[in-house]
Amino acid sequence: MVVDVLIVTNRLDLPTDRLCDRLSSLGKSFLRCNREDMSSFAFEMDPLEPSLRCRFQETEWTIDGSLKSVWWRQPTFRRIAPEQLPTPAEQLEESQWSAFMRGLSVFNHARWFNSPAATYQAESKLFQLRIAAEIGFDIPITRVTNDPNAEIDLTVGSQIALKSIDTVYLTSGSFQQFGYTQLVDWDTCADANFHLVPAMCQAVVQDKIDLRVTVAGDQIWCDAVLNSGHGIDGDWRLIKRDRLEYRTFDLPDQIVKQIQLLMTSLNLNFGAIDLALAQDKFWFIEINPTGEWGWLDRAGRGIAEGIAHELGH
Amino acid sequence: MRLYFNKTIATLRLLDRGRLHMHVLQKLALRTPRNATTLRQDSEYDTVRGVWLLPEGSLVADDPDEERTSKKNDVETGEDLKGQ
Repeated sequence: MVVDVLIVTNRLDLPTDRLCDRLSSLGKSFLRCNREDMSSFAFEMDPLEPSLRCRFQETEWTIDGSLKSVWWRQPTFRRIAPEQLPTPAEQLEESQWSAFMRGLSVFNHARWFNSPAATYQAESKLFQLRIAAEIGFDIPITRVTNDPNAEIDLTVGSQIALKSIDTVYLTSGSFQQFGYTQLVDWDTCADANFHLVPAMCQAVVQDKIDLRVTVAGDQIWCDAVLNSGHGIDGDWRLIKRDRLEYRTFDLPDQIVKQIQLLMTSLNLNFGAIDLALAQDKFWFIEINPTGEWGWLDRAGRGIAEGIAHELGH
Repeated sequence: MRLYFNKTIATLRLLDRGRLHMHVLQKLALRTPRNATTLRQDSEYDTVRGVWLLPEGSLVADDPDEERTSKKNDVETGEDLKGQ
């Protein structure tokens, strides 16, 4: 069959299962390639045409100039050091399949959600803050520093929202550590080790309501994240899951326009944006080019259907 | 007994020294047991349809009892594949 939508992900990406199901319902043909399953497919690519033939048992797919879109859910950065040094065969497998998957960018006429190059750039928190500022979003005062003598208490405040400038996900043996935004006193965090890595110090947004905006093509969903009906101080992800509730939120037209401009400026067709509503302003916090959406796709929300529609459009 | 005590003190000192040289981002990072994302034993992956299926043929992803439709509902590892 000739493929409308190419999906590049991993086996445990369950929200993408829903996309595949909804694409089938829409009558769109697709090929789902999971990173772990690549060698169980038989591929043959002509990068000049470009075209790709893929076979799995009795099924054969063809990708050519009629490909409409690519749903790309692959990591841009490697953040976990392997516990054991991979064998030469594993190293070869990793490097060559990764390159093959990146090489799917030969289908550059298709609409990418998102292109690896755009994701790479947009994953920089500092870059996205700069672009959001240019567009006119309100952004909390921000400093990035490893200088314990920086006058953060004067420029940002004595209490700050301390953030990493990239995901902090550390593993050690049978434990993992994940970094959340923490509200801390500058005096206590600017210790003798503060110079070891750069960190982001942001002004605390008080009395906020967290908003999660999911964007796919022309479609936008916005949810307020609440704890027992109220806004949450600090990082809402630290609140127990069963106390969180998600409510549909209508964004003002002006903010929707800014979001669309942000997506265009970052060359993204998909993004999960964190905003904070406080003091009648919509503060831009960050955008995740590969952000999760399955947790917000409750019954009737239609996110999977909406993304499938965009992919098959 | 004395040897055991001395070894324990030495270990604690080492741990302290490690923490002494720890950046605040590492100190404040939430530490939890590491557990792999797994699916129900009786689910089966359909490569052509691109979905995990329960024995009765419905999608694992649409199963209200299956909370792992996203890593947000599992172990917090950040956004999709950020930890990879």
